[in-house]
Amino acid sequence: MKPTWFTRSIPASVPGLFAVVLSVVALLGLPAAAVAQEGAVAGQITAIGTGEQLIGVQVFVPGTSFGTLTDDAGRFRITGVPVGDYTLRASIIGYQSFEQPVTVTAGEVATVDFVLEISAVALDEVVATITGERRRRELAADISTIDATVVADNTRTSDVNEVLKGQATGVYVRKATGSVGTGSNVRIRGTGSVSLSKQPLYVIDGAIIESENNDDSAFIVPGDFFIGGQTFSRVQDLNPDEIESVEVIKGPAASALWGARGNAGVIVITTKKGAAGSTRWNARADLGSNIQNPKFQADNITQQSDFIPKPGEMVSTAINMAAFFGLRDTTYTQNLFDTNNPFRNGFVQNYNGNVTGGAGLWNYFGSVQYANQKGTLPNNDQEKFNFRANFGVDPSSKVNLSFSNGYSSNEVNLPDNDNNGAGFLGVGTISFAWEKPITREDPVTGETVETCPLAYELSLATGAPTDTFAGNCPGAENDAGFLSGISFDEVATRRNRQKLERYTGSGNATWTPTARWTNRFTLGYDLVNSRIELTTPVDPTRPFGTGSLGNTYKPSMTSRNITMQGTTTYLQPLGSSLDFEFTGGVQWFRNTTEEFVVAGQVFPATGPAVNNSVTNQASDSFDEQKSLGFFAQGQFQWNNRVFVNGAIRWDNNSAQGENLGVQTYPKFGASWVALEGQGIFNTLRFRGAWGRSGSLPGTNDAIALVAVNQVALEQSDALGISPQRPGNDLLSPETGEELEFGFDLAMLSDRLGLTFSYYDQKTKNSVVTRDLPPSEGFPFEQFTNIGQIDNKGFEVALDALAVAAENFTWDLRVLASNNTNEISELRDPIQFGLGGDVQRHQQGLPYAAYMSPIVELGDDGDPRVLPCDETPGTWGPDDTPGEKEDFCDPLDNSRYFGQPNPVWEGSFQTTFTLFKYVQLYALFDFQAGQHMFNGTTQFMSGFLGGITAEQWEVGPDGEFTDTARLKQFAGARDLEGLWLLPADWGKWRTAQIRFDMPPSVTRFLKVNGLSIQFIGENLVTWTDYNGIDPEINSNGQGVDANKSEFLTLAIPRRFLATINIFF
Amino acid sequence: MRNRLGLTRRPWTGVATGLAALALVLSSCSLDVFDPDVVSPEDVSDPASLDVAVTGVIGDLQFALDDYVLFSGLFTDEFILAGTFPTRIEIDERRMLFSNATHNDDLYERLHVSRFSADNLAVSAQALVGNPDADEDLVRVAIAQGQFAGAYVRMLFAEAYCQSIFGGNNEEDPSFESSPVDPDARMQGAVSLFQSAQASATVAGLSDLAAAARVGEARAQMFLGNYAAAAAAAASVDDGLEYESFYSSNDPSQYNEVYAFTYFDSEQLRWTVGNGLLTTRWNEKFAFFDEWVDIGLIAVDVDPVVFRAFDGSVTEHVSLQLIYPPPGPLGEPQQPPSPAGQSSPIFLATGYEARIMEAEAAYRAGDLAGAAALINSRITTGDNPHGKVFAPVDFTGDFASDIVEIGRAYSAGMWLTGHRLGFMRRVLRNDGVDIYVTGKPGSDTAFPMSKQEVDNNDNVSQACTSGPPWS
Repeated sequence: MKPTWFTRSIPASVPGLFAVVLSVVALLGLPAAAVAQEGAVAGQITAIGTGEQLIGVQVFVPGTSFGTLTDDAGRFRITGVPVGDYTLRASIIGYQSFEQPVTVTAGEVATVDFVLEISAVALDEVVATITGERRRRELAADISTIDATVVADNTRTSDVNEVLKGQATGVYVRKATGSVGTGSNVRIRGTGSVSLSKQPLYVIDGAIIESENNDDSAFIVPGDFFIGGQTFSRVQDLNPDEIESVEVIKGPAASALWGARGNAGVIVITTKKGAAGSTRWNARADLGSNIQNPKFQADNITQQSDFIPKPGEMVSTAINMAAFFGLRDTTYTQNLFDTNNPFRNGFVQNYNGNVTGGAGLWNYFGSVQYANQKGTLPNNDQEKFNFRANFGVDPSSKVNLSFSNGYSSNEVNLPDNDNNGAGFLGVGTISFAWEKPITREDPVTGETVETCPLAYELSLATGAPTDTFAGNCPGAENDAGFLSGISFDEVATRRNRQKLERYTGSGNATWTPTARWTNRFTLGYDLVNSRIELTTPVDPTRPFGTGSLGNTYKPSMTSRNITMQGTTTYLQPLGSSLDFEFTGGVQWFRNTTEEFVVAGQVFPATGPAVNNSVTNQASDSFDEQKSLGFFAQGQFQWNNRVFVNGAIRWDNNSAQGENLGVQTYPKFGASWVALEGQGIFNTLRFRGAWGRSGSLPGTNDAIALVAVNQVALEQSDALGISPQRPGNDLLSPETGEELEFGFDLAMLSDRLGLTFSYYDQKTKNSVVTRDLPPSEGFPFEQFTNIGQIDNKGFEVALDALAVAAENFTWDLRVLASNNTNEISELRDPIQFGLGGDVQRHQQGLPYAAYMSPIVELGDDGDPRVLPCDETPGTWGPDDTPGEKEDFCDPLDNSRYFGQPNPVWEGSFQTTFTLFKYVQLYALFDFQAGQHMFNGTTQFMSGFLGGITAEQWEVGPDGEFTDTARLKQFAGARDLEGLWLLPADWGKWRTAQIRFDMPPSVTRFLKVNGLSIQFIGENLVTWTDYNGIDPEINSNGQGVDANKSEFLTLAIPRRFLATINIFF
Repeated sequence: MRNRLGLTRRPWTGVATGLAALALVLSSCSLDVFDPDVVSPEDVSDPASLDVAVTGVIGDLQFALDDYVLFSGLFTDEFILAGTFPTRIEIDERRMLFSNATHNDDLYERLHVSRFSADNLAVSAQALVGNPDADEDLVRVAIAQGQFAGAYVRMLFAEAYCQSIFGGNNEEDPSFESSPVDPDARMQGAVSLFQSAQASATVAGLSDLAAAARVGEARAQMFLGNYAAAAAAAASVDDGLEYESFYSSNDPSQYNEVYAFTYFDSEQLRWTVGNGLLTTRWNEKFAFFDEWVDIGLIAVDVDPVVFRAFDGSVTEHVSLQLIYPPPGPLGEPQQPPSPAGQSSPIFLATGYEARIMEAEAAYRAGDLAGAAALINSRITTGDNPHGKVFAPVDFTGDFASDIVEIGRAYSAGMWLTGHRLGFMRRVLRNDGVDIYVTGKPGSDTAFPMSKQEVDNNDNVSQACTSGPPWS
């Protein structure tokens, strides 16, 4: 029974605004009004066996805002607690939650110490779901929970998606580039859609947020801008240090109640909350450097045995135009990376401060971050400012309010890169020999002349006078690259900038009229204002592109996301051991996106501004989506051991089309805790679930569209219409169905935990943007429901506390996931990709299968395309999975090579704690089973008849080697199979050592805690892939289908030193 | 009131009431959305939007013609490629791969959009005849314009493609075809539609359009080998006819692409003119290069710093200055912007073309002297679209050499207008004389049907996809 003065001091009807004001007052640190009849609770929390003082344990009175976190010594103190009897709970991931009764008396401090047991399988861990918080034992499907505080501490990453890396089974996280400020590709349990977004839904404190990458057509615009796959990421706006935990809802079996937005999974982020008690401050500074692996090699066409770079290396190619013209006797090289290396060590600084506390009825958490990191290329940097203010208030014993407010400012500058000859890597790696003058003897005149080598050779070949080109080597003065004729300095003048401000907030109210009836209300708002500027300044000295005259493109985007949600839950006992719980809810969501674009070309001066441009354009667009869903769930629970539930959601939305109306998403599941106790096997739980969720097409995807264009007539321009896309009245949402089952096992006194899940997921009515026959007269693809994609696999998580001695602990975590992806229904194959038709969606093959003819030497010794009815030899796809090995399309003799996404992924983590004050942590992760397209080498092999050294390699007999001839043949015909390569990799992702200062030191320094960390990231890569980095993707972080490297920046190493102070 | 478990009924009532209230509130939030930048076909199907549809058809033809001039120019060596894209190199070398996505995505698709748009306009405008809400004059214009554009695109399909098919899988398209059509049948369709366009344009009072349709019909008849019919169609066309496709400097998407791809500072000289020297891998030389340099139609700038080509390899760059003159004197670096270039029109049909076709028909009928006189009256007097004085033709009676001279006469008035591929191909088809530039790796004479078409059209089971050479 709570003291009644709660309701008297702040009536239940108190307006929320008043509560906010109170919270603000609390945040400002003003003393709370003195209230009589108060006491305090204090104590210390340690781990059983080791006696380790546990840091960051949540200690709280359930159902109230009274609570706090333990400090570096494992101590806690909650003040301002009204007198009375309470139940105090201590909870932290990795240990079993524990409750103890406590009696608070006026003016006294009640002492309660906890000794927590390690829990390999924490059945009572609380998991946030759409129907409210639930204990893990109730969940019929696997939901991974990540302690973001621990991960952020260990890695000091600035990217929230990186917090997921290697921390949850079935979750695939992959960065597309080594440039700072870009995000990651996050996929859960494979690729479940062909054409709709595969990005999981992100929810922060109940608010659905904008999480799509900002990689629209803004970056392929008139002119010569191109930043390739280095897209800006909305998830990057967030600050990992503000996050308490992340829950990963993996598939339809678990996400059915997220309805038409749940098919790709849901990532539920909970930010840190305050707890009533003394004010606690934390300040943290990270300093370090991003370092590119700098093994750049000068190369020469006559010394090409090690031409192919090792992972992490960038090699400037020896492109031998003389060889190209048949003048193979003379070779010249130039390596721009040797003469003018643009790479640098990028300084990283990240400062975080936070405060938490509260008094009486309220609590607060405030956080501020300033981060500034520079990439390894000159104009790549990111400057972030994050601010968070979270408040909690209990206006009555039955009402709890919490307010979450996050502000982000994120400015990112990206370099020109990827598929871009005018980018740093294009200029550096495709440099031509002739750019450097040489001195040589003219065979005609006998005089010594300074000339451009290629021009000289060509003149000799054509009989032109050789002195024509004396001393005249374009670009020689500034080490310009071949492809663009521009220098690194000129590349650096380009500006690809994002400026962003964002507010993400939510208000959550919980009203508990009775012990068995709980109502929750959420209002979420996410506002993103971004402005992108892509500018090439005026550079009259550069004979290249419109950029020499100035070119600017400036899209501004505003995105608003509003979430309103309400649920009510009632628990009805049906007997002494049997309960029934009903939850009903409703959720409304609205997204609007406005975009305004101005662009200008040709400037009279050096300061590009649209209003000064000779030619300029403006356009705008507006897109809106709304959805309304109702859901209901019923759950029977018997003896706290057996849980059986069924649920259903009905969704309606704004998408137009006769089949895009109300959709139904049911789910069923059961959880059985078969064993719970002591012995060899401590815990055994079986679970199984089936569910359905969906993915919606866009609002206008079903309707026919025509374009309105400016058309030039004789006298003036006029508006004209043009066919754009036919409609599809029959378009439906795609539907994901998943069957999942598994078990959780803890044994050996809870020191070994094993979680196993098997899932079988089918996405039916898969929405595909299908090419139409061009003869239908529509240039755009049509959205159609064709086919089905299946994803199935298993996930294993193994947690072990290998050693738990007083001065030494060692724990391990191994995660492994398998995913078998297949397009199980598709009438006709869809071909696309990589500049030709090297990929296809085809029934019986994985999503986006790589296909290419095989090139072999025929019996006559000449290269040829191997017909389908012959068996591959040396040059075949030697690692092709069994049953698809023989797949060959007789139309063009294309054979299946592999898939772009991994079949296996996983991680290995280990933590050693020495003498309680030294912690060593390492994270290794891997992906396997995927192929990668080495576009850099393929491009060099293809253009201008082939310019890679491999293609000009001559054997001892003076003839081209077999390899050279095969590559010449394939390069000349765009047969790209030779560059579709297995790309399995393993990486030593993180190494960390942390020193926690002992109490004697902290007391001397008059702080509550102090630690110093040293962190290294991306330290070692193991792979057989012969390109730069098997993890990158020149197509960007949002692209699942094409995984390729094309002048893409490898992911750099990062070294950090961190100091962390609690006071 | 309590139930047998000792609980009040109130929570259940509250649950239901609360849910109902919340549902009611949220249900009142409309799911209707407003998207102001979406235009659907229904928005423009009423008679009041007919003028926008007519303009759209003109724009679609312009867009298609732009690409057609570029790719057919590469194929016929009006242009050579100084760039590095393999798919463009394939075209330059006349060895197109069936899967050439650049070609599929651009030219083939643009031509089909233009054809569909034109046919759609002609049919829908015809349906408006007699509709009191429709502007009668505009309806006539729409019919004529739709028929002309439809005929013109059909002619281009016949000239450039080994096969073509209309309508895809959409049987509701009035032009739907159940199997690919060969160039002869396609050109017959063009002739028929040009004749309809002549009649419709005359009714609409569009004399220039009617004349252009006659030129088009004549060009189509030439392809079919009906030289007398061609001459008859061309005879009534005025000497001064210049029916053009217009472009604009207002927006990069409206630029004349020939200009854009060859202009000094826009597309990095990826297209240029072969001078037979060092610019490309095959040392190609435009057939009339020397003469046109002499008379000032092609300017040569020898400053390799100023006129360095895209790949840096060009030491003697040839700048295009025939139809797209720079503002400065020849030999000077072009100084953008040059609206005269960006917005330069491309001739669709001219009186000059009509005269040369008449001359060719006369030659083929055995009147060599008459043919030469007719041609020379235009090319040696400056009475041609370029206003330049060309060397006279002098027919020897050797068809293989004389037809090259006739081709020179066509090019003297229609260079970079998409005419030369049709001429070269019909000479090969009708006469067995190959005047394509030889010595390249490939020997294609036309484009293959698009792979995207073959992959997605249920009605294409057998198509010209296994070349080259395409014929």
